[in-house]
Amino acid sequence: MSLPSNFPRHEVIVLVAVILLAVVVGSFNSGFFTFFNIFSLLKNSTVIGLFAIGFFLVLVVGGLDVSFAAIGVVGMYGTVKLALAYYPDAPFVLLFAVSALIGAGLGLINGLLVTRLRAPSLIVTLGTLSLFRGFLLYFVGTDTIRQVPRAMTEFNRINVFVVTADNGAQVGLHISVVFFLVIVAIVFLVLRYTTLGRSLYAVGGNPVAARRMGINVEAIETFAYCAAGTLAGIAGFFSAVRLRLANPQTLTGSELDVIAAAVLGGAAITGGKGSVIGVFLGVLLIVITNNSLIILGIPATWQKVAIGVLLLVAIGLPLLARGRTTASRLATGGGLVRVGEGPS
Amino acid sequence: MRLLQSVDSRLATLLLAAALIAGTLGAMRPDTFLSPLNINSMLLQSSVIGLLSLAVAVTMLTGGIDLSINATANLTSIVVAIVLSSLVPAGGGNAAIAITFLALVIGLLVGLACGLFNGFLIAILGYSPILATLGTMTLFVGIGTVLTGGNTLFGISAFAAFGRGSVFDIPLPAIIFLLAALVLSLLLEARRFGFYLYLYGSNEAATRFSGINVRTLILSVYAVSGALSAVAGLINLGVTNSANVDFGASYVLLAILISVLGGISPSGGAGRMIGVVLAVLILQFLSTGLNLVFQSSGSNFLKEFAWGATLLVVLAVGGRRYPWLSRAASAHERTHAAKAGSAAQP
Repeated sequence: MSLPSNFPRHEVIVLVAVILLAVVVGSFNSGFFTFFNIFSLLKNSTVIGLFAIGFFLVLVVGGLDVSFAAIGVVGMYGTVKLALAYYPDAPFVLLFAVSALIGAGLGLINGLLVTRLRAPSLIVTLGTLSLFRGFLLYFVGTDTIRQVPRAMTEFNRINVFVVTADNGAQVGLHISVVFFLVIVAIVFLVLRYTTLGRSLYAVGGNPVAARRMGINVEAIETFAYCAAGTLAGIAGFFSAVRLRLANPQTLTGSELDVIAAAVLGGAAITGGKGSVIGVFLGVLLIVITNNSLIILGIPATWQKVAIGVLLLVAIGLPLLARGRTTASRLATGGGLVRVGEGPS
Repeated sequence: MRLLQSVDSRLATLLLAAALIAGTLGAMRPDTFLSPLNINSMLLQSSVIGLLSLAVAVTMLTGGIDLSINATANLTSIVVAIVLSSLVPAGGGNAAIAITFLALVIGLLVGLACGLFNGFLIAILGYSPILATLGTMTLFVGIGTVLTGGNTLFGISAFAAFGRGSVFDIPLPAIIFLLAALVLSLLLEARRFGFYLYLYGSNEAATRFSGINVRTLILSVYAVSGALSAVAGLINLGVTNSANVDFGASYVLLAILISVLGGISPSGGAGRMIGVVLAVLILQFLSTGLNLVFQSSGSNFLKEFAWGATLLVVLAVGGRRYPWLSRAASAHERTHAAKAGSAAQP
């Protein structure tokens, strides 16, 4: 579909929204534009951002993966359990790799099921969501582990770009943000400059055309789910690193922020659209909204309403921007998007 | 006709499965499983999830989905609870019927409003059903949180008779669920609305081109879904005598699982409400059975695991049948659509 002409415009809209929100919040609270606050906003964006980029990769191929939070929890809790049982002194890199691998494995299961069962991906991943979560909580454990492996707590103390604030306090950028930004850069480059990345857009844009071009559609789709699982495993792992504890009942239930971020960033549920930059901006918008409601004097109970309205507006914006009137929908006959289907 | 026959073979399978599971459990624990107490409690438990399943099934028939069912149900019970608790001091004991009636009207209005809002987003603005109802789900939960401040509302005793009442020893909620299923079945299988709906689910373009008012159709589908969710919320309020935003968070998944198990095709156009009713019974039997066999604290998580596995197995087994089924269905209905189209352009 008309990819290049559409999405810079949407990204600009989101960027303007982020800047406007920042200016409004900054005028209410002078502490907003300090290194401390900006670093902490970025730190808060890491987990939701990693989830959102994984979710976005599946959206690009025209699928919908709602099991990411469950995958993140299984990766995180499974890694901690394994490490404590067999190798408590495991180096950080190994722990990181194990969590990512567990995520990749579960993502592969998603990918195989979606491509083999030929059922809507939303329904398949709803199934795997409760399968993974139920498995973890019934067969692995329900207790919160407060003594995570030492490598994780040590890693959590690392800060880079340490600057001294006005009041003399040392503030630094958390190391997990660096990991996050590197992953954003990698996904950006892969999507933009590699055959693999272009194939993802091609499959999402028009699976039939992609197949005729010689793209192995099933393999590309499976890859997207696998990559999303890997990123979810990493996100879950970083959430445990930041909290210094492994709770198997976290993350699930917070999916909506992630979905809202990806949709805000311009990813279309029909596939083949959106960019990593857009998703990154969407994540910032959600995180700033969540963090600023209290600064703006809005009670915390309104948070869900704010996210819901933001989500509904975000879905509507591209529809308006594309000028998709009812007449054009009637002409193409494809206005109402079917569950988990791309345009075909 | 061919469509009906092929779906009926699925109904026979479901009926057989329900009878087998009930028979096995009955033989294993005759004193507990077949006791009137247990049967009544199973009927009571399945009525809320049953109504939610009908709500999601009717949208799946159009190829859409309604993820906001549970949020709508909870919002309904919250609004009704707030209105009733502000009225109860004024109304005496003999005003119980009036209060119940008022609650029903308010509840249905809330549900219809939620459903029409979904329908507006989907049919008029062109939102995709998944994203629209995901957004409204958050919005409805948010409004519920604002109204309750995140707390649970208690003590709406004037309405308890509605949830705990029974007719001929059958719980009232179960009767309401079965009545709703019956009315919906008639609407879908004996009225023009149902014919258009199945047609839309199996061939959207043909429906548009045959001059059917698709907007009104989709609006009414989501309004029906909202109303059914509202009834589920009202029953829940009556049974538990409390209302909060977090109730039944896993019900959305369960309702989708029941619909798919009951033979509703996720891509639309095929499936019957009677299948959904049978699937509700099967899942309720299994749930009670798991509770009887595994009386440990973690059996909720085992259930979650089992539901996920069941959904995937049903998709895998049903997947072989669906392509053929939907081809047959769309071939069948395309001829009708062509007829309807030529009739519209004389």
